[in-house]
Amino acid sequence: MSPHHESQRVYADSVEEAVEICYQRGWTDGLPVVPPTEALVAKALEYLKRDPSESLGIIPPKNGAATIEKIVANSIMGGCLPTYIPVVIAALEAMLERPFNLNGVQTTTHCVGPLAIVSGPIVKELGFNSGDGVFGGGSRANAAVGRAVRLIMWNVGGAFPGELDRATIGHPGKYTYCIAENADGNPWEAIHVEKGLKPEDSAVTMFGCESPHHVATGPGRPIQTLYAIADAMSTICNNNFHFGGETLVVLGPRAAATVAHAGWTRNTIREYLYENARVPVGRALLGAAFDEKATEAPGWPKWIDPANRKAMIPVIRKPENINLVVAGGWGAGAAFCAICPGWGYLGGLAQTKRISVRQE
Amino acid sequence: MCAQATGSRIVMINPVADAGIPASEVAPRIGGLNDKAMGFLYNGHYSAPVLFDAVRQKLTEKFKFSSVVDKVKPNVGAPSPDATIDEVAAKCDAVVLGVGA
Repeated sequence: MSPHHESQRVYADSVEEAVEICYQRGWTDGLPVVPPTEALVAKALEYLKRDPSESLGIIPPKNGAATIEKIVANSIMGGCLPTYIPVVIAALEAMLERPFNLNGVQTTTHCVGPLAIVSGPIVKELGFNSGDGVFGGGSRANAAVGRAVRLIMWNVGGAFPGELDRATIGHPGKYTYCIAENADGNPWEAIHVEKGLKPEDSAVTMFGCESPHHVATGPGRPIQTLYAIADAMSTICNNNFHFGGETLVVLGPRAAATVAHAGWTRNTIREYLYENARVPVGRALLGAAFDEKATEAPGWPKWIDPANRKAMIPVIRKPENINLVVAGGWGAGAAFCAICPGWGYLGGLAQTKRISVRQE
Repeated sequence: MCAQATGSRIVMINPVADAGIPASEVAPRIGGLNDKAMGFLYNGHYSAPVLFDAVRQKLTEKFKFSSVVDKVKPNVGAPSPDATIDEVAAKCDAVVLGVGA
């Protein structure tokens, strides 16, 4: 193990004072944190068996080094058990991939926030929620991993709202944004298998996106379920419409079972959504023009004739740009899904990393 | 929450990383723009051409460049590709850039 560059020590006389110090020093995003004590950090480092001074990379825009020690400290603050931290590490590795464009995601005026999608055996092993209320509260693993990622973006990356984080609206996922794939309810291969990993692997897929838009797909036939999703996608003021890029469709297990039973595959679903999530030029120009004289928007596909007001602009430029995951609860009389529009071609593109539990 | 060995005090690890500021220095001055190779690296924002074209016009009225290189950044939200930066640095004495939206 290399000589350890120790972080500064900060002292408190009580738990209450420690919590307040975290606020006073700007270490939190507004919610209270678990004080990152030496003892908790040491316990997590012992579990990980990794060099605390090892850096995974630079977190923009402040360009702080994401050392194992900093990752552990922030993970503890977010409520992580030591066993959760390999998931946080994999999430950071994914976001540091160039196509994710973490600097852009951190600093844009758009609301984009990184969503962690955990899949594989680790979901059940660590108690991630992949069922009812998957985007909401109630699961320590979901909440803590998502929060750890955000606190690292905060304390190591310097993404403070109104300062380097220029998001004008933001969304609640900037407190925590982590879901798990519902393997039991998934009739197809796991999301990480589609991305090239093995079924027995556990992985995290990071995707920069808006908050989830709930889609009440109802109890209808498969084609009606898919049309409802396509309709929800067909709006003019999301970055996919303006700038292409990737999106995320979250199929509830009831909807997934309905369409899979009728023979739909991931790719035929993508093709359908690509063909049907479209906006006519005429409607687009009512609200998406960039100045009142504009006859088209720069990000539209080149094959669209802007003079043809009935030409249909695909919200997603290619079927393969639709990320699909099965998550959520079964529900009662109706199926529910969600869509999470992305940031466009600008970044936040889905990146998948295998979760490595011990130093190999 | 357990107290540390140093009496009853709680010892916390500072979770904040130091800002990483890359070392840089001011480029050597080129002594004016006449007879120099000028580059315009449009930042890719849809409104960029309005400002860039106006700046370009003013500069070409005032100076006589030996050559002009025009490039467009493909992603307004990300840095220019390394190859673009290398090309502009190799071919130009000075470059007009744009930051922001």
